[in-house]
Amino acid sequence: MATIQNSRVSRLKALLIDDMSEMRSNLRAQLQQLGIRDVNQAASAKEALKAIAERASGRPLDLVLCDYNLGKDTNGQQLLEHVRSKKLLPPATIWFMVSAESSYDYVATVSDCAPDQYLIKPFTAANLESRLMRHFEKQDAFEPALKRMAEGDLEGAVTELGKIPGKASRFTMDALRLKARCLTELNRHHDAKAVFAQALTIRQGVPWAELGFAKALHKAGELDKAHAAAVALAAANPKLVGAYEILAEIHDARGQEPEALEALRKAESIVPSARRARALGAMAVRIGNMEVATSAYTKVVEATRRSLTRSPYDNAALAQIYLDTGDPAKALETLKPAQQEFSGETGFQAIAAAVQARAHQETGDAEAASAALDRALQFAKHADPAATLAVSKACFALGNAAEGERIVTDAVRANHEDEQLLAAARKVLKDAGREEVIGRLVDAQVQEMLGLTERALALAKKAQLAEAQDIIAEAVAGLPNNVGVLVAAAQINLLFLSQKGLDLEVATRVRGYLATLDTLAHGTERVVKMLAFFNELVRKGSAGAAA
Amino acid sequence: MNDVLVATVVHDLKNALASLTSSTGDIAERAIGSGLESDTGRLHAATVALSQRLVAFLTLYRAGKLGLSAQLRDHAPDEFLRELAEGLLFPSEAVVVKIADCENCAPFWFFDDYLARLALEAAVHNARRFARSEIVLGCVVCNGFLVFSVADDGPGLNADAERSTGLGTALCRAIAQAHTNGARAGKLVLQNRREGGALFELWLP
Repeated sequence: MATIQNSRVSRLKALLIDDMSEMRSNLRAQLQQLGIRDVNQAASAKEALKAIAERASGRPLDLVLCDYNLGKDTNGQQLLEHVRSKKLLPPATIWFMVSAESSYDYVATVSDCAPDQYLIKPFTAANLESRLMRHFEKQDAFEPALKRMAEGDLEGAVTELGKIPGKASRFTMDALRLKARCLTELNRHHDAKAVFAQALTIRQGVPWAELGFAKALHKAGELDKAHAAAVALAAANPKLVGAYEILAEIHDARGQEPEALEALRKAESIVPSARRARALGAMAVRIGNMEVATSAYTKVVEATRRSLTRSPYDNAALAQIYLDTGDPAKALETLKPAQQEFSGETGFQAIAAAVQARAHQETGDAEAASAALDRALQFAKHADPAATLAVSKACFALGNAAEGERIVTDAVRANHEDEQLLAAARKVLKDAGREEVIGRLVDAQVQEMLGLTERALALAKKAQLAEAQDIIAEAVAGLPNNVGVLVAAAQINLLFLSQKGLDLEVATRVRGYLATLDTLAHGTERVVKMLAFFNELVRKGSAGAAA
Repeated sequence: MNDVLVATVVHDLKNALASLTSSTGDIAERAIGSGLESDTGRLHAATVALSQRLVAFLTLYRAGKLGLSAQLRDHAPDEFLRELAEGLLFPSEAVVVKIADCENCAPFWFFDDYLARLALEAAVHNARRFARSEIVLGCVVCNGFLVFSVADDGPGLNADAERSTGLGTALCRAIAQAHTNGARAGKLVLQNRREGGALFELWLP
């Protein structure tokens, strides 16, 4: 029982999420025993998101107590993954996952995106308080590193974590875990591997370290060793879903697609989720296993019908599968509910209209097919390059090869470094029986884009900065989301700033490029390095101006 | 009666008991200084013990059906014991729960804190029935094992055997065995103390 209220605890703003009103009352009473008065309550994931959104403008929530079991549609883990991936709460918000002892094994195994603590019912206010105090102690111990991480300065965080004494302490494993996380995000996989190995010398078989080690081996290109590590991990922890997911990635990287499909199937069977079924469905489509593809995407569409992870692209994928397996009526039926709900989602509407065009074509309604293709082409003007490929497929099916080829060319040029997009573009051309143009429409375009960025960079290195800036600015204007072009643009303008000093207009331009890159290629080594270099230039420039 | 119905009923009972425990805790806290603290403290201790025993039974029941797997994470043994002891202190109770000096224990160890808590709660519950004046919790590293101990100053193990259902011992044994490190598994040691009383030890590799 908590008799003395701790002011650090009593100041917390909390949100309780539980679908049972009695449990909410209990939790609320426990929070009150700890002096926590500012408490919001939610009975479902939807209500929780609403409460989080309402808090977004004021002081954010400090603590979320979320029951794992939130009824049929969503569980606490899915909600946590959604909130963290969409960054709906600041990283400092504490998330405690509450579970019944009967589901604890299952809940704790899921944890690739782990909550800060697990609390198993029944627990007391005193248990809750001591968990909070333990969390605060950890936060205090890592404060300098966490501050750097919150600022996006991962290199700085790694430096701070290196200052923690080598002598074993309560936080040794936490420090290693945090350091490995930063190094992984920085794409410093060899260094991350060494940190995971260090953790494993302290204790063999720690799942997060074993999993991280296998992932680091994979990212560092040591595929055979990564494969062996992942296989051993899965054998030792048959319920560890992350082991099968990394195994699938490794198989995929080794070109062993059927094995990758099997690993994804295993992962999905251990902890079924929409995300996993989606990955399984996408892989099945890639290797043409339409039976698994149909069952996986059907599961996704069914499971997410009323959930917050619902995406119209699942309906689009399923509709395309039905179409490819000769069932145009079912394809149209699958699209219908999502078309009404997601009318503003241009990429989806482009795919939906393209699928309609092909479906009508197959049922012999040429007029409806042509009208649908016109709509698809309109939507494609504003859609994501990957979505436009479905439209090009419809163009080929309806005999408009010229338009189909133009769309493929534009998609490739829009992001010539995206390997998945390039593979999909090649597949569209192959399926349309136009393999002979793949070289011209895909490979030659990639070469041309690479040539353009290399030319601009070469000019910049020869001190012809103005000319390089003009070429690359024009390229960015035409291809605003092309990662390769944006990287070159940022590099050229950073070179300008480092040689000519801080120029506000150029600095603003670089800031814009880097902001877009941070969204499109978040955490990649080159983006992180450029961000750090830019911040350093600005710091020096400001200091110089002040002097 | 089918399994689903049994599971639902037991689940409801467990939740109701948790709710009751929370209420008795609240009442016991508010009763401090009222002259009723001894009665309310006993009431609360009884509901806590009942709740713990139901969870222990459920865990053991499930272990028999599905096996028991330990979620190994790094925890500070001394912190863990402190938190455990806080939940076991009831005002006005005659028997005192103390923590021995844990200075020389490891800063962290890998174990399932939830399962270890269930085991030690069961051990303390048992010790409480026999202890004369105190129960001492301790932790130490010995031969590559973390050893949690519960020592009481009661009459020792023989008296214990006659009045025990064996639930606590079976649970603790299952929990010890669920903890493995390479080829080594955890174990349970029960013995009489030289100075009198029983000693329970949970050895975790």
